[in-house]
Amino acid sequence: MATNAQIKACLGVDAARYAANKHRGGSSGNKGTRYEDFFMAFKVAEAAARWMVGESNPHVKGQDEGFVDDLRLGSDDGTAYFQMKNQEAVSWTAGEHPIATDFQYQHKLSVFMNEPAPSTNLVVPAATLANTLGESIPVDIKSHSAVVHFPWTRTANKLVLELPALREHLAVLSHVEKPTDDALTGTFGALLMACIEFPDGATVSQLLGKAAGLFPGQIRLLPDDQDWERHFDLRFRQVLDRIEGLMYGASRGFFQWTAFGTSGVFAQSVLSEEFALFQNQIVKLQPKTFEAFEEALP
Amino acid sequence: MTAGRTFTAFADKDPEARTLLESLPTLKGDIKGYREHMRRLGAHLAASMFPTLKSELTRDICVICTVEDADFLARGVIEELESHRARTRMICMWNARVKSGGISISPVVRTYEEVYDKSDVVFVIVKSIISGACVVKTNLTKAITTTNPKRVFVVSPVMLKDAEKRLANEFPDELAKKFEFVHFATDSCKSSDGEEVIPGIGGSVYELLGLGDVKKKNTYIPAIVKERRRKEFPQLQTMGS
Repeated sequence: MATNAQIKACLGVDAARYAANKHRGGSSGNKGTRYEDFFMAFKVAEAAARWMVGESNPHVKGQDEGFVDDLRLGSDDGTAYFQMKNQEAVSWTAGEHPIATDFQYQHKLSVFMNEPAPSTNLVVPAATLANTLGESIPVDIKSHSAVVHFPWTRTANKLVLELPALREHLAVLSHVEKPTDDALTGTFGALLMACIEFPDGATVSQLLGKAAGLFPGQIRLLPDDQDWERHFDLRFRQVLDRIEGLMYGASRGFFQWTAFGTSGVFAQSVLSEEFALFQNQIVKLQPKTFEAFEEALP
Repeated sequence: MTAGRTFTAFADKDPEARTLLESLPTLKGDIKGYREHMRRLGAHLAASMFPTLKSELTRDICVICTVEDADFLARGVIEELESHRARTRMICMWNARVKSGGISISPVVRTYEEVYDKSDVVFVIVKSIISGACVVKTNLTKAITTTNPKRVFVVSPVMLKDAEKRLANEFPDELAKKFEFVHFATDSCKSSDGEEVIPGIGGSVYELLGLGDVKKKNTYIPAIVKERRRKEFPQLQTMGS
């Protein structure tokens, strides 16, 4: 991440002034509902799902200072910059400050900063536009540039319902093993909230931690190979095992149960104080039937 | 006429429903009266919907509601539909609420769901008031995970202006075009904190129904859920005896 002084040192006064103005301009609109917000949360979901299987834990920042400034993902493996253009028509070369020049400046600056493997990416909402732009990337930025298609929907719910790649990442992160569509949108909502909480950026694991702190929980506990049911009190298990028709588990760190067409998930993880209190309550009340168990739920 | 309120054609055809709706704000503190009014409003909504629904009586009619509406508004809808020999099924959901940074989600923490024909069903989603449509959106999103309903009725005594559009924006066009809205009034005013529709249904429905606040209402187990579940699973009646 560059400071304005570093931009000045690398590219001169005019470029530094332009970068500062661009940063101030930013994108307006309600936070959490913009094209930029949805894409950022999507990239966080993608990076978090990868981080869980041992890949890097990049730092994520929206509205970074620089020339390609809507989103920056940086790790030891690479530094990806994204420029969002939620428009029907986009050109590499048109306008006072062409995208191609911004990409060139950003790459030059990144190299100056010794950032690992910098890349510049243009994000547009239509697949055909993405193809056209992808086929016409100017030669001088081609080696480090790409075009990404990311659909625009007015709402996060619709995005989750319509974007298979996002659903796949969210399913990995969800607090339940086989998440229904509402659980996926809940996980996405939690990530969006976390992104807004860190305007100066954060690592993916920090964002995931923030999202996981919401009540009720929407993000699984980690590590993913942990046997969370070992956190059940033995006496708690004994009571539940005697209740006819009740099935339960905690595969992703949240107590879940199902019986007689009824199902639920405890709002806090099995490590929480609230869950400990609930276990104690069950042990104390000793419900013998599902209906009695249900009455004891907080 | 109340400022900021427009009555729908359904209310014009049903003066009793209009009277019931207008009297809701006067029932603050009268829990029994408020509950009964909600039940009757449910019956009137079902009666209003029925002319367009009656061709669907060979299908499962799945009523989707929240825990707070189950015993009152939704019960009214279900009983009226059953009086016309509709084959009703029920999904009841317990929603929590998370608000942060201007974003709001309503996670489902508990569900009661009866078995229905997932390949041939009509959804009737019932809610005492539809404002931001956050809960309705969440619950319908859950319900469509495994089902592509033939029709989707969205039923409520009052809706905030443009709620139809807001709800449609939450879903793929293919589903949104199935929405059929049945409500008695459209309100265009909200309280200064943006939390309440004015006059709406007279305030916080949980409290007006005597179910406590947003957290406490989730400990409530609707009688209609217990009744229907015991019919679905007769073994529940003998357990513990």
